[in-house]
Amino acid sequence: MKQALLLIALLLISCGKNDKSGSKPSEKAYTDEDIVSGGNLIVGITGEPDGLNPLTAHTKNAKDIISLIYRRLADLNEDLSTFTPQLAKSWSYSNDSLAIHFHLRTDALWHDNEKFNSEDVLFTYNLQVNETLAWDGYSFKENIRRVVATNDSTIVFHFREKLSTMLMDAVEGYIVPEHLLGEISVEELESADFSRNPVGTGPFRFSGWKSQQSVRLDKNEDYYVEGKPRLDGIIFQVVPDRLNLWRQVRSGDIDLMESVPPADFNRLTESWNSGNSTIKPYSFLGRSYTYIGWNLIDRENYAHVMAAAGDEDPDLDELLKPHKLFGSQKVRAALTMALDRDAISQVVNQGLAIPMHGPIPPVLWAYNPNANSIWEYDIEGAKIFLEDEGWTDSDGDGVIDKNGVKFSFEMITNIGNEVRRQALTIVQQQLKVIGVEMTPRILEPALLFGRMLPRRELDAALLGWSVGLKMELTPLFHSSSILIPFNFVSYLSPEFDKLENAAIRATKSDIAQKHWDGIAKLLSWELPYTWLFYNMDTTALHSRFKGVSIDKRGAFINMEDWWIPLEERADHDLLADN
Amino acid sequence: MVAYTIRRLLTAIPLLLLGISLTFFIIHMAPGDPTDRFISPSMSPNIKESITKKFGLDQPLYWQYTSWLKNVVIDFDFGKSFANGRQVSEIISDAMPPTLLLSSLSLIFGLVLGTVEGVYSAFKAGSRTDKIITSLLLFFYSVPAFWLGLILLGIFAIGLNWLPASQINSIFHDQLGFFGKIGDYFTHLLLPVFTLGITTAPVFGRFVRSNMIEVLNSDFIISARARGLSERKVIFVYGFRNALLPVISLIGNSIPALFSGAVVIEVIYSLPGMGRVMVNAALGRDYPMIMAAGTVAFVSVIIGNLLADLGYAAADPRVRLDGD
Repeated sequence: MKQALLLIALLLISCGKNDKSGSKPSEKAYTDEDIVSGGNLIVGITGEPDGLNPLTAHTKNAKDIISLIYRRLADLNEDLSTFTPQLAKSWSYSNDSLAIHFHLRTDALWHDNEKFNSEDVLFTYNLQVNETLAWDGYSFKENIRRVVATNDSTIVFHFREKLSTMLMDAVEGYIVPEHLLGEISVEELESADFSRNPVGTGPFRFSGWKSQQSVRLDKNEDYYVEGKPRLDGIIFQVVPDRLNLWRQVRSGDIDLMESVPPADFNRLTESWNSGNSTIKPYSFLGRSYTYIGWNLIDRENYAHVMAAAGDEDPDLDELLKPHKLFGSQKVRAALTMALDRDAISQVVNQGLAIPMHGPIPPVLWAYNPNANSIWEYDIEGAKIFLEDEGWTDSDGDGVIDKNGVKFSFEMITNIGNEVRRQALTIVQQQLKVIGVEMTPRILEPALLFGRMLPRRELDAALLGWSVGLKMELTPLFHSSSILIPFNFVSYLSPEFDKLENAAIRATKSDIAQKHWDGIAKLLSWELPYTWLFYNMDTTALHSRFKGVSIDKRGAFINMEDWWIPLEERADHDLLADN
Repeated sequence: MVAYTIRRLLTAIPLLLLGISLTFFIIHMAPGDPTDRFISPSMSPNIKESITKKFGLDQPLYWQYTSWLKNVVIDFDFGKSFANGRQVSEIISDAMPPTLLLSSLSLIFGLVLGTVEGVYSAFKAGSRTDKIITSLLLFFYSVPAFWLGLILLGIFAIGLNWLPASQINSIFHDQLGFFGKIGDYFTHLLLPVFTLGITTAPVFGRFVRSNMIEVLNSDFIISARARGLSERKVIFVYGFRNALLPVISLIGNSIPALFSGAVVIEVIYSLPGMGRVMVNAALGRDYPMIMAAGTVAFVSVIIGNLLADLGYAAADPRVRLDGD
């Protein structure tokens, strides 16, 4: 590191001032006295936000902007299990541990200068659980029985059951102003002017929106943390094409870009490390993974039984007949052993992924790499397993068969994801080695998610899930999800149900950990999925920004702390207020 | 003329209805539905149901169709976008100006360039210059605008970095003076207008050339020449005016093509217009948005055709419109 710093320093001296943006990479240490306010951040985004009301917006771009305009009661820390106070100064549990008392800030103001109080929190909660509104964080609130505002600065959340996630459930969601939204009906909420003229309590206030072009935020001078934010403003610039966006980052027109394509990111890292770049690369464990889901049940039978059942609930025993290929655990294990997951994750992501062996994402607290049953890459072992199950190449055509049925199937993925397309090709080649014939099929997402997954019209699918910060696997594998699209592999295991119910109810973390370990072991043994790899996220940010924290929670977690030294200001830091 | 226009507009109504009804049923028959974009494992199943209900997708198709039609015809209300809850008409009125600006600038550019090319090559008919111009016209006539756009974008915006590669103005736009603003638009629109204009120019160029040749060989030109008028006067006063009149009708006919061309060019150059709105709507199965955009496209075709006929009648007195 020291050598790198020296190199950077030398380069700076020798390059002089031929740098276009006028800034230079410098990793010098700053003290609190050095910190100055001013300057602007330009964030490149690929699509316009779908509104800036936290209760109705869905896209990631919208949520990032919302995270700067609004505040929650408390923010999740990097360990993903403890919290930092925000609109709540502090909190305490009731004696029976079935309620949490939040003591709210009395110095927080809405951007229109109205005072924030407990009525806003109560109002927000009532909307969050409103079925017509269909807020996408609704599942966080399911364990909450009722919420009571005892006075202006105290609010109490009562829970149905003692669960380890109570605090997370209570503080999830940004608080919206009652005085502005109280008169608007739930049906009108999304279309209300508020969605394009939001008012929050956060460090930045909304200042302008040019349709399909940019959203502008200005510093909130009355933010409840003294002296913050430091930046004058943040501009979100819409550039739909990622290549184009990356070009603008390199030319210094845009300061921050998330999800930099892997090849570009690796080149950036190289030039940053050799001191030739003013753009700093950040990579960290991201929030998504890629896997193969094996349909565990016979799809024709499923279609037949569902059709016969009509509107009635079908009989599960009849519905779930084993799939002729993937119904056997030993076959799934063989297929898993035939895949070189290290190679796949390296090749398709150019080093920006780690192999994954079990159901629990490595960013979550319950992750324990030793808990997974690991199926090492072992072609011979795979062949033996398949032979044990009666699959041999009896007619010598290179494809194994059993009772006249060839081991041949389609694996589907969605259009528009190059990484998945490449992974599919490699998987096809690797399965061919053990005599398994897989035909890749790439489909329109609407067809895939809208029809094939819900109706189980597939054999195997190579897909990805994004990871929430809450530790739960219910939608994917629990018996209560057996008929919903997320459990499209139709996994049903009483043992899993028992373990997960226990894990979620455990209030002591070591006990919860024990149950989650049991789940990891069970699922990685039974293999309803073959987990392939966990993606790294890539972010590029101009190096003139200091005080930056970027981690698995994203790039927007502490922007109120970001600042720019005077000597490194760029052209657009001087944008006048308008 | 007025009576004719009114009658044409009236006959356009069933055509428009047929078109948008087809669009409605085709888009509803396409697999996938607008709630898919909300899919995520942390969503509880009843959320999907209530979204379906909110959008009215739980109702039978004929009911959805009639209520959509009723709102559009009676209240002129295209509904709200599924994607962000905004009034569709509001989204369109935000997205229309850049598209109109791009199409009209391209039309002007293409028209002027095409006419100059056409006249020049007709004048030099059969010569080497004519052959070169004709091949060039054929080239730009055949080359897809999106391809040309990508090539130009690659060279001038990404490779050489001379011109901006996206958006219609810069973030400094609001701070610029009047001429600064014009210059800002100019640099942002140069490539898109050039791309769309140069691929439209051959349409006019070829037309003008053949008309011009025809006119130059006609009796009145021969007699003009015989009377000893200057070549300049023969071509520009007698030839040009007569050859150009029918071009007016071509302008009307090219409006729909220009509009759809603009939509593609916008996507390539990341301009904030109807193109992006339509692509996003189609991918997200945003039915109200797709229907409104489809209606706009149908109306532009109908009006374009009408303008073409009217323009033709105005330009050539031999054409008589029924009802006059």
